[in-house]
Amino acid sequence: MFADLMNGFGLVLHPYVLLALAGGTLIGYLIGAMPGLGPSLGVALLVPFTYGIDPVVAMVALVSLYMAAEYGGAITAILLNTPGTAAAVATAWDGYPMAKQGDAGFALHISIISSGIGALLSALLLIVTAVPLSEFALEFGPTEYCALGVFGLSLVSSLGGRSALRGLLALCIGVVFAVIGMDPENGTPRFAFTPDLFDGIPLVPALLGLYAISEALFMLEGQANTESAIKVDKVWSVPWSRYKNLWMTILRGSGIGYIIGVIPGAGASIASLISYNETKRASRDPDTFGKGNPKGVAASESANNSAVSGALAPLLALGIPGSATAAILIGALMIQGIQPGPLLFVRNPEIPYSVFASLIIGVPLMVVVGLLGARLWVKVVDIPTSLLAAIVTAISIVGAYASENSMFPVYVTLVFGFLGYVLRKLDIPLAPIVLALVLLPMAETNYRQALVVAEGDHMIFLHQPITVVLLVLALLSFVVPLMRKRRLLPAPDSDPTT
Amino acid sequence: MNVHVNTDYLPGVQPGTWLCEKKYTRVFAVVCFVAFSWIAWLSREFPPALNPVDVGPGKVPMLVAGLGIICSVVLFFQAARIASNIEIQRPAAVASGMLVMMGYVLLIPIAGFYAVSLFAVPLLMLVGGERRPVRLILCSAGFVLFIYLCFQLLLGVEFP
Repeated sequence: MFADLMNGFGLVLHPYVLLALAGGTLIGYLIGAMPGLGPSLGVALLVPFTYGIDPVVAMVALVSLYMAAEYGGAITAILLNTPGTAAAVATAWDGYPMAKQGDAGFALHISIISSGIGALLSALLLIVTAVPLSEFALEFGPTEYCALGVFGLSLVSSLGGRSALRGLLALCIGVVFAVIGMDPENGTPRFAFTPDLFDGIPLVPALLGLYAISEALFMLEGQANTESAIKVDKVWSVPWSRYKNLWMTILRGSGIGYIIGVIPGAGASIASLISYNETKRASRDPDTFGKGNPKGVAASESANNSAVSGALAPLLALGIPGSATAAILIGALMIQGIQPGPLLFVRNPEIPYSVFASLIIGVPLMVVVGLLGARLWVKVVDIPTSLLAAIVTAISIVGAYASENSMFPVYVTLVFGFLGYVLRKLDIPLAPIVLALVLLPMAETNYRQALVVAEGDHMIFLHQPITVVLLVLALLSFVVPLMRKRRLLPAPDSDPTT
Repeated sequence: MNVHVNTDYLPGVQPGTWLCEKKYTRVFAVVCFVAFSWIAWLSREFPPALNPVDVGPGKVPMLVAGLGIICSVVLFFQAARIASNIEIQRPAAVASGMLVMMGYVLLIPIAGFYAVSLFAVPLLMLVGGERRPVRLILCSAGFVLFIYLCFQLLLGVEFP
C-alpha cells in the first residue's frame, strides 16, 4: 500500500497532472460560486474534456473540481446569502450575518481554512479505510456482487426526495433504461429498437442530459440574481488568534463529514446540516447561531468538504456511487475502460492512489487559491445566465458527440435532457435513475450468474454470510429512511407548504 | 387546460405560469402506467433462457414493470392530496429553448457542427434574454474557437 501511495504521489507530481489539478480546482471554484451550478453539473461538464487524456489526469482533474466546487458554494452563501451549492445552505445561516456585520473577510477565511482542514483530514481517513474495504471486497463472488448492487439500489429511499414513492418510480424508470440493450447472459436484444441501442443507453450522454441540459432549460426559464455582493477585505490579514475557539468545531465537523460522506446517499448537504446542528447543540450559546456565529460557518464548511472524501470511499472500494456526482465520476472511469470497484485496486492501482495523492497535494492548493481569489470568485455571479445556458447546452452536445464520435449519444443527451426537465418540474428525483443506470447491470448479471452456479436455487443468497449481511443492510438502508421520513412528515407526498 | 397566470408575484420579477401539480402528476402517472404495461407486455415475448436454470432476459424487466405499474397507480391516487402548483417562470423561453436545442442537434449532421453552433449559441442566448449584438457575436465566435482548440486540435475529435 505504501509503495502504491508513493507511486501515486510520483504520478501526481508530474507537471501535466499538477496542471490538471490546478485547472480542476479553478473550474471547481467558478462552478461552485455560481448559484445553481453544483459539483455534479461541473463534473458532468468536465467529463467530455477527459475522453482523450490519461485516466490519472482525468480523475485528478475531476476529483479536484468536485472538492473545490463543494467549497465554492460557500463564497456566494457568505457574500450574497445565496448558497452556490446545496451543501452551503448552513454556511449562509451564519456566514451572511457575519458579512453584514462587516466581518466578510473572516467568514471567508474560516470557510476556506475549515474546508481545507476538513478535506485534508478526510483524505487521510479515506486512505486508511478505502484500501482495507477494497481488500475485503476482493473476496466477493456473484452473490455478494448481486447483494452489493441491491444494497446500492436500496439507497433509493434516501435519494428519493419528496417521497419514497417518487423515488421508487424513478428507480423503475432508471431500471427500464438500464436493461435496454443486449441481455448480459443470452445476448438477446431487449427493447433495442435500433442497432445503436444494442450496447445499451450510453451512461455519460444520459447523465449530461439529465443534469446539464435540464439545468440549461432551468436557466433559460429562471431569473438572473440581481442582488449585489458585500465587499470583501482583509481575507489574508485575519489573525490566527481568532481561531482559538474554532479548532474543536472544525475537527468535529471533519469527523462527522467523513462518516456521513461514506454512507451512500447521505452526501455533503446532510453532513453540513448535521455538523451545524451538533455544533449548535454542543455550544454554550446556541442562541447566537444564525446571527453570525463563526462556529456555524466552521461546522458547515469542514463537514461538507470532508464528505467529499467520504463519498469517494464506497466509489473507489466498492464501485457504489453514493451521490449523483460520484455516479458521474463512475461514468468518467467507465468511459476510459476502467471498472470501479474492488478490482480497481488490483488492476488499476494508479487510479485510486493518485486520487489519494491528489487530495493531499490539492487541498493546500485549494486553500491558497481560495484565499488569493476570494474577491474574484464572487464576480462569477455576474456571468449572465443566458450565456451560461448556451454554453452548458453546447458543451453537453460536444461532450455527447465526443464520447463515441457519433450523433447517437447526442440524441440520447437531448432526450434525457427534456426528460430530466419534466421530471424535475414534477419533483421526481433524478438520482435513482442514475443509480439504476450504474448499478443494475452489475446486480442483474451477478444475480443470474449466481443462479446458474446454484442450479436455480435462490437459497444460495442466504448461504453466504457476506451476502446476507449486505442484504440485511440493503433492507435497513431502504426501510430506516422511510421510517424517519414517516416520523417527520404528517402524510406521504403531501404538499410540504400546506 | 388548467393554467393561470400568477398575479401576486414579487415586483420586478416576471409573472410565471402556474400549472396544477395534481393534474400533471396524474397525467405523468398514467403515462408511466401505459409505458410500464408496454414494457411488461414486451418482456413476456422474450425468448426463454438458453440455460434452463437461468431466469431469462425477461424476468428483471417484468418484475420492474410490475413494480412500476404499482407505483404509477399509487401515485395517481396519492396525487389527490397535492395542493401545490408547478411554476414555469418563462414558458415561452423554455419551449423556444427546446426547439433551438432540437434544431441544433438535428442540423449538425446536415450543416456541420461549427456552422450550426455559430447560429445556435446566440439563438439560445437570445432565448435566455440577451439582446446585445456584440455579446451575441463574440460569445458564439469565442465558443466555436474554444471547441476547435480544445476538442479538434488537442483531443483530436472530428466533428461532422
